[in-house]
Amino acid sequence: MRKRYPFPFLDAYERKDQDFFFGRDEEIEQLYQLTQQSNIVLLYGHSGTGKTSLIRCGLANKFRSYDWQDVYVRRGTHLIRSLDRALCEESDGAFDYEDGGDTIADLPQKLEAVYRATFKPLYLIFDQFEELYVLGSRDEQDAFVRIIQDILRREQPVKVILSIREEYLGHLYEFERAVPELLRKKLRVEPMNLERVKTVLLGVSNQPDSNVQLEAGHEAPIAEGIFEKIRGQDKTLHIPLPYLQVFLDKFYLEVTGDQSRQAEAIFTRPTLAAMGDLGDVLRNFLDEQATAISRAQGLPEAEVWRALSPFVTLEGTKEPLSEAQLTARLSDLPTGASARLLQALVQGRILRFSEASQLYEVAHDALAKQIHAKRSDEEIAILEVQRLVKSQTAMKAEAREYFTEKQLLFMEPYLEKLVLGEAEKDWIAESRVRVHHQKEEAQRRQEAELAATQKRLRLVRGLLALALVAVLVAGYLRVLANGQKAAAESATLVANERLLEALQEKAQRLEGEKAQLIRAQAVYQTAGDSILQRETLQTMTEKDSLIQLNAQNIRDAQARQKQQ
Amino acid sequence: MMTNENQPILIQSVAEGMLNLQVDGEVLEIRNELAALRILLESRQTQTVQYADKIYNIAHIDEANFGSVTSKIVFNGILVRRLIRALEQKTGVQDFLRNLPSESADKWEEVPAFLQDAQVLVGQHFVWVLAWELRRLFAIGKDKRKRQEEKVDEYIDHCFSTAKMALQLTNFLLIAALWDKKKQQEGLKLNPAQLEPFFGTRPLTMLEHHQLLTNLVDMLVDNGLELPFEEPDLEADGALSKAVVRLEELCSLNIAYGLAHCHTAEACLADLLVGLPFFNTHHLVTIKRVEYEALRNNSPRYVKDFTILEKKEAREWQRMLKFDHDAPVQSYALLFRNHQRAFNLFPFLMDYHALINERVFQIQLYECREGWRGLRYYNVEQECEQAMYYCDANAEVMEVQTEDQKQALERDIRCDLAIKQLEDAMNTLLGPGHRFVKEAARPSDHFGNI
Repeated sequence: MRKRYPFPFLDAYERKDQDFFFGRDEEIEQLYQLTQQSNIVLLYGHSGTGKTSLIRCGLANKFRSYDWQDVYVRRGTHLIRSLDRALCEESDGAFDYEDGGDTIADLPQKLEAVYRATFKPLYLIFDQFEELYVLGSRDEQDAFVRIIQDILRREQPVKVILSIREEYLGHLYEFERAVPELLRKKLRVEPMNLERVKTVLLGVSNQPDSNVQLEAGHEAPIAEGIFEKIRGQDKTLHIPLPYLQVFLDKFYLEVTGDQSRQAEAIFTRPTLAAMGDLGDVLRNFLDEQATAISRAQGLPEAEVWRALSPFVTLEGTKEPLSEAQLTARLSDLPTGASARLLQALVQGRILRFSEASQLYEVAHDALAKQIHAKRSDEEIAILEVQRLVKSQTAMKAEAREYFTEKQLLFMEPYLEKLVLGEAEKDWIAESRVRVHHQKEEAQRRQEAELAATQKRLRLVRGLLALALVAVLVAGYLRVLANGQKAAAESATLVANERLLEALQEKAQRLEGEKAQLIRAQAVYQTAGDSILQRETLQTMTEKDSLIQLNAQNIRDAQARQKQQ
Repeated sequence: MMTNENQPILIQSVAEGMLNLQVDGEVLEIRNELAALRILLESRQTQTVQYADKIYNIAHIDEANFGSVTSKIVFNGILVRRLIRALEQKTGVQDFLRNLPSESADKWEEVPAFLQDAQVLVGQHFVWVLAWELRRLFAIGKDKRKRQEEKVDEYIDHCFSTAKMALQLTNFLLIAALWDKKKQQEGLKLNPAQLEPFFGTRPLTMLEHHQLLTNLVDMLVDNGLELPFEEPDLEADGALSKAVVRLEELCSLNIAYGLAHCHTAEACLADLLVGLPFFNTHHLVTIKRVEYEALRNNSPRYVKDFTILEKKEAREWQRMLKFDHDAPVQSYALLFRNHQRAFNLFPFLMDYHALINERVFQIQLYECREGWRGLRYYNVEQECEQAMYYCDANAEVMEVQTEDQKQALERDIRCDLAIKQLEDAMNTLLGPGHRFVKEAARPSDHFGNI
């Protein structure tokens, strides 16, 4: 029996790798059951947890071949076009692909044709679905949701599986509103912990087809040692799969030195210990490859990194590019250099080439992250400018906005280093003209405003003078009025004093008249003249009233005097 | 007459049962069987036979590869042709046959496009379980990447399983009918011994299913009961019975299968399906849920949420809501119905997903008892056996704290209902005294060890 190398490096496990795919039984069963329960299933997890392998190898092998027709769709340059192309390719010649933009012409017929070609239930698998949100336009996203709604209504047995990085789950909000069952059946792929790493390594070691074995009797300590070396000083409970794969490949080469990976290897504890502290295995792998490629190509190492940079988005995810696109971005390199670089990067297993889409992309998101970390501030700025230009010009003309002066100022130093299309250049030029017009217009408006302000100022000055005169006149009149008021008050005081004197005299007089009446009363009493007595008494009562009234008037006059 | 050794016998054309040969300018017709060809070659003292542009040595031809010698169509051809003929009354099939070009009318199955159209039509006209199995046969037949030996094995396996399922479904129908009748009429004369194997602890073989079918038909007829379908020809020398016997023989052969075996299996399956025509006049309906609505001073009404499994005129699995005042047959029922009548096949055929509140259906066929602890079912889509155990779940009023807890409780109660239904069928048809029990809890579960 011919033995095989069991590790796929940075590629996903495929259906044929079933014998080497371990540690995922529970998740495979769960995913399988979910596909039986719903026509749309979501698989999510962090980058490097093995989502793609779980579908391509685990799930695919769970189905019998006559019950599983898988159509894998990656976004490429446009998700809907990629889906359309994939359906046409699987239709057994019933349809030829024609670019339909944001729609798929004859979608039901194409699905029917794919079904008729095999008579198997169709599984549409959208891997790395986050690319739709990282790289796709809003129109593309909306169109995709509409197409999925259509597909789920179809009569053929068609199921949809979406695989997405966990941190992009929030982007599915609108999608879920349109397709409520989207998140009903979902599965999180857990990262690799020590137990799983052990299962994988022991499984591979016990597999008769495998050309890698662990030293007999020491399988568990070796697996633990590998886990420890990969997690290094971080002491995390999980390790990303790409790190494990790169490490295992390095270990194999350390043992056999066989680049063809045909020789049989036994992983032992001493060899593992001799490898020492490896640091970040993925970064080291990238650095080693970059150095080797730069030497082989006769280019500075910085050029290799510059060539890799466009393959990674600003978020540190993969961005597929064609050879032509890369050549345009590296236009300063000698003719053919970018093509040679691409080949070297593919051979070095950093890039991967897709025959279907004719695009190159970084072999794994974990590598993309490392490439992103290597970027200089200037590179990041260039990418930001590039994204800005693309996002503005990708919109329909009626919805597109001109670049602002601030944006143009930010872009200006990097524009020479960008390869822009005619439409993009035109839009920047139009934006500049518009900004220029806006500035002229602003200046004109400023001058007009200045003139108007001066006019208003003159008017204000005149008004101020008038107001001053008015204030002076008012002051004079106020002084005059105060004098008259003082005189009036003095006169009032005198008059009041006189009134008081008069009232006091009147009081004395009334008291005298009352005394006379008292005396007369006594006389009339003695004389027994009752009539006069009664009249006198009445007169006395009236006098008392007058006395009281007068006393009140005196009090009022005294109060006024006191007040004055 | 001696034949020149350099002149092979020429096969001119191959019909379903006959071979047309040209021997020294003479046209002969023999049975389409290897033995017949051998006899002819021996009589002509020749070793070679030519078909189309290929010449074969008779010494290299055996039962396993005979089919590939005598037919251009390796998979599906015979089956689809026979089934299309059986479906001739259907409008779509009539259109298909009418629109065939005259030059292809006799051998349309050899033209991939026509065969494909016919396969789609066949898939549309059979009840879901059989349509799904036929689809598998078509998929295996079309697979270009698979190794021939693997393909042959899978193909024959699915001819067996499709045939067996057809017999199982037929027996489910008759057992269900008998069960219902016995409930209504006490005086029916049944033969429990003949029914017992169906309720046994091991799955029946194809021959046993065939025997049961014969017994069930006899029981119904003897009791003057109407069969749920037109009485099939179950005579020992009838096509259906012979097909079952040949399939069973093929199944028991301990040899590597070849293409000829595929042809045999395909032809037998065609005979069997043609002999049970009601599978293309009925469809399956799963009742997912029945809700009850009642308002003051109004008669109550039922909301029946059901799905028609087959893709017929509407060409999709139709989920329907029906509001009416008639009490439902039963919740979670799986109905085998046409426009006149409906037969409830629960719990022999059931939609397990209806029991666990999943929208997409999952059809399972009753296989046998799992002791007195539960039942064993065959999952059609997953192609595996699954056991369902009696939980004795308490259906009284009880507190549930989470939705998951509620779902689990409902599932247990409904699975218990299915088992209790089968128990009732046993007690009705075999006589009283049959009872499923919950598996005895281990002492530690009840703190017996503390």
